[in-house]
Amino acid sequence: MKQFKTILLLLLFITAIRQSYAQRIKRYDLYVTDTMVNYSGKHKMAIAVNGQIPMPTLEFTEGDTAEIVVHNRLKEPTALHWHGVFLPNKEDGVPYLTQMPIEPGTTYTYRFPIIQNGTHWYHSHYGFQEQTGMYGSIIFHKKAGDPTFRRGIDDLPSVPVILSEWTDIMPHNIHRMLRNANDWSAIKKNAVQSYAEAIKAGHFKTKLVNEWKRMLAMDVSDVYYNKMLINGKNESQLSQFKAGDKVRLQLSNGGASTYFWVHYAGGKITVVANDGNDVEPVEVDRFILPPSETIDIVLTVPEQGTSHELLATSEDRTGTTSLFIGEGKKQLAQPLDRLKYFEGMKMMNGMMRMNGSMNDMGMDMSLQQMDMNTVMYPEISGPAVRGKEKRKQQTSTEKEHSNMQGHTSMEQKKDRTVAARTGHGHHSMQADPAMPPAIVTLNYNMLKAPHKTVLPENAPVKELTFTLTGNMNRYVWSLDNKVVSETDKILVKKGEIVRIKLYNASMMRHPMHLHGHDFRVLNDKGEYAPLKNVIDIMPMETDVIEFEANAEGDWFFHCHILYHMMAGMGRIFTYQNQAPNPYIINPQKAIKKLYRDDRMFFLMAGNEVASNGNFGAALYHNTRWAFNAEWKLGYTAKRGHEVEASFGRFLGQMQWFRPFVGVEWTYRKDSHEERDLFGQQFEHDGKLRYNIGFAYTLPWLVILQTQLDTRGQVRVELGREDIPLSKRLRGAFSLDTRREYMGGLRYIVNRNLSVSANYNTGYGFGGGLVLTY
Amino acid sequence: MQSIKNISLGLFMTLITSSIYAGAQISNAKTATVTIRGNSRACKTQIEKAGTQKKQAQLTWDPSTQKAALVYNSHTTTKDAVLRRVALAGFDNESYNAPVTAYQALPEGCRYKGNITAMHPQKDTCDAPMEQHRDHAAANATVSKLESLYQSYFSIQQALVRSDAKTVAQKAGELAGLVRSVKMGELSAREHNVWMSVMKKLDQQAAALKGASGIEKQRAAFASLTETLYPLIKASGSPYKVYYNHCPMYHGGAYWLSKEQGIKNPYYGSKMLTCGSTKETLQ
Repeated sequence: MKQFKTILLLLLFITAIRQSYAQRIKRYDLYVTDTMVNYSGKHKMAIAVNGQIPMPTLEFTEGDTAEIVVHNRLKEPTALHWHGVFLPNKEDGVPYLTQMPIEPGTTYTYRFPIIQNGTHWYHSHYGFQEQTGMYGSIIFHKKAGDPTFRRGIDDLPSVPVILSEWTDIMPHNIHRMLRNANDWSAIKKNAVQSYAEAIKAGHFKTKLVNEWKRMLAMDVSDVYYNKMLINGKNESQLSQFKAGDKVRLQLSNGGASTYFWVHYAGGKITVVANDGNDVEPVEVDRFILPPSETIDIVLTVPEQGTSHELLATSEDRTGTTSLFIGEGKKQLAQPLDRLKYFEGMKMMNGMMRMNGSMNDMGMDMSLQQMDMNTVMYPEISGPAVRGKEKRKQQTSTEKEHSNMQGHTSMEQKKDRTVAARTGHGHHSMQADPAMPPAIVTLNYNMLKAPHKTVLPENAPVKELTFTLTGNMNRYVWSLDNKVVSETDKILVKKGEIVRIKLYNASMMRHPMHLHGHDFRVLNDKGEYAPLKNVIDIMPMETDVIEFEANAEGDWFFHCHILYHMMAGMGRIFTYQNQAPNPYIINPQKAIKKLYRDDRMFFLMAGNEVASNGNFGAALYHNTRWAFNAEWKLGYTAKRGHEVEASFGRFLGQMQWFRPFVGVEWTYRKDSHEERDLFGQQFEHDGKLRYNIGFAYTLPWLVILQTQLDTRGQVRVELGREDIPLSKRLRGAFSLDTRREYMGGLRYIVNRNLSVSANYNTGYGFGGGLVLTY
Repeated sequence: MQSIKNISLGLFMTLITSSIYAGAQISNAKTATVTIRGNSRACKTQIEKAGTQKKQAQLTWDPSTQKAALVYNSHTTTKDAVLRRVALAGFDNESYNAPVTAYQALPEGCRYKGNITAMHPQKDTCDAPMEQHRDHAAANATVSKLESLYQSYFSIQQALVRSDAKTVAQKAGELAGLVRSVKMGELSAREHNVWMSVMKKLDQQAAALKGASGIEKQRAAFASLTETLYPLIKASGSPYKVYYNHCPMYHGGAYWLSKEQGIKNPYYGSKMLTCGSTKETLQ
């Protein structure tokens, strides 16, 4: 009997063990379909998975095996990437690199063991599908008895939250507009920063210096979005929580290019994990979530019967989305005011050298600790002061200085108005007049891993340095001034430590993401440096990351702003002597498809139908090459016709220099010989002339074009288009050595249509309509 | 050709006329009565201005009943969208409570809830540990004889953060006096050594700061004063934490000493308040 009992116990014990160690396979079926959405009041095409945007939240426990079956019911291929997840390279979901795309009408299975825990997300890595709805949360729970389980954090009720943005314009069209420096987004965002606006803000000189240094108006982001979304909605509520409850939100930024500021009406935010890795809890007032980062935060519901707003604001502050936590009436959070663009421009002017490189003035900036954009944040640096007020304030402070007594009342009055406008109450003023509130913002130096993260001591180290480079005017983004297709894969050896120093020499911030590995972000925490898979680098910052090369395969390392990635800002890591990927039959052919992304050509064209003639230009260009065409067609042969075309290459990081070869044809009935400024004789005779020459961008963005034709004649032309006179008014001029002068004005009505007026020596005065593409 | 001119002229005309007639009427109108808190006639204009939007919504608020009549275009906006704007202007209503900062920014006569404080006053959390430090300092017998001098330096530093030139001038006078009145014999041996080497410079710099007119000149004088004071305060071994901070931008790099953890840059006022980093913590 006793023996029987022991046997029974043993049996029970064995089955228990088998149960807990058994490979639990968890399967999800994802049906990808085209859908119609209406976020902005207009019906637009988007992509839904299982009928929803965002894609469904996938949940696993560490130790499970994931089996995710993708049914592609689109008319185009797709591929899903599991962001921040450790998995065999062939499951990573980068089309043409780790697998061939999932063709329309086919089914594809991803299968990988879950060997980590934390908050992650997944998205399409094919084309621009991420922008149109293909993003979702993927959560890995800690298994029972995990020694890293944190009481009071890991046992809180958790809600996966994914942030994203929506635009009515098709993403490939957005990309084309960005590459063409189209400022329609800026108009929609009210961020053109034109001369009229500069004068109004008392910053005329700032604007002039800015353009003198050959900069176009800068914004912190490039794309205008119609709506910001949390879990697919602009506003939603978690009414299941009561006063005193703590809730853990597992946030991912699934936006294609938006950084989100996040703050909470109910008080402080406790950050407990970042990029799926636990960190020591740290209390902050707000944080910025870069595209593709994830963060776990703990919030407290402070009051009975009131729900408090968690407000996410796009970095450019044009859009917000909110989540109300708790039940009852909604307590709003203080919104973030508009950016003070001209203050930012002034700062940029100070940093920018004439050759386009940046001068950090000896500041060794890193880890988001010094946000230069602070000069633009009204909640920290005070509200914008308009031109007139600025002058008034200057004189009044001068007066105070020269005559310090007897001006107290005036000074106090000024302080009060400033404080009132910043939104400081009376009570805070008493303590500290005119002192901005101390807002604690999260930065990477505040992150500390709960356990040591040191890498093997004796492993060989491979040191790499990358400079993040870019050119705003032509929207070219690269590493070391080279795009993915212009470089070879970077070879690493299994077992070595790869240490990468990143310096951001471009004017925008970039969230750099590494596939398949977590890296240590070297900060003040030494052995407890946090583990991440995305690092956001602000302009002029230098950061060092390191990781152990422990997973064979081809791994993408790229900027996670979708339009920067598509422009070629990235590299591919590959392991020496690794086994070939069974899904890629012909690697050489496949990689060419991947390279096609950053070699793509874009078309831009404009045609003015005016009363005095038909004028137009077209540009077909990619990262390095450009084909230009220009035409001026009079309505009669007597007025004349001119057509020019050229093919050239942009040189240098700033791409100010473009040598070209071209052809020119001009014809005018009854034309006679003319003399140009150099004394050369020429005629509009209708004969083809071939030429070579170059175009160079001068200060104030004036383009100097010099060319030599087959008859030995030299022609020099100076001109500029799209001078931002006011928000919607653009000016243009050109003059050349053939004594041809032109001046024009254009009022932008919408994305494709403008009303224009021009004067041209050859064609006289005219007015009309401009169609742009 | 003439016709094209006419077309463009016509286009201009339509643009102009359409902008003139804009805002005259609300189409797809829907009406609602909403509750909005406020206490006086003074609030009326503010509430109505916040709620009313051309062609979208028209709000009329009655102070006696705290109710408002709302007419809005149900195709382009919602009741909640209007009430959200009203709340963001500082007025609690049936759907939303105003953010604390927005409420506090209302003119005094309009604060219908009286003076309220923020739910999570950051001041307290900052000051509490400092208070402890001070107690600790009092309990400690070996307080430096230079303590009052340091305190006046910190007052100047804080005044510079606020760009408060008057207080700086006043405290600088105090500091110059204190530098003159230091009795060398009372200093500790380490302090004494450093004092000998910085005494003359410190005297000059304190005088320069006192004489500086205008906040910018004060800041320049303060920068050089800090460099002289740093070895001295280090030698004193302060009973509380002193942070030696660096601002890389100001005149090619300048330092300042602070009792507060966290960066509050005295060289630019509110413009670059959080620019800088702590290089050393002295205690």
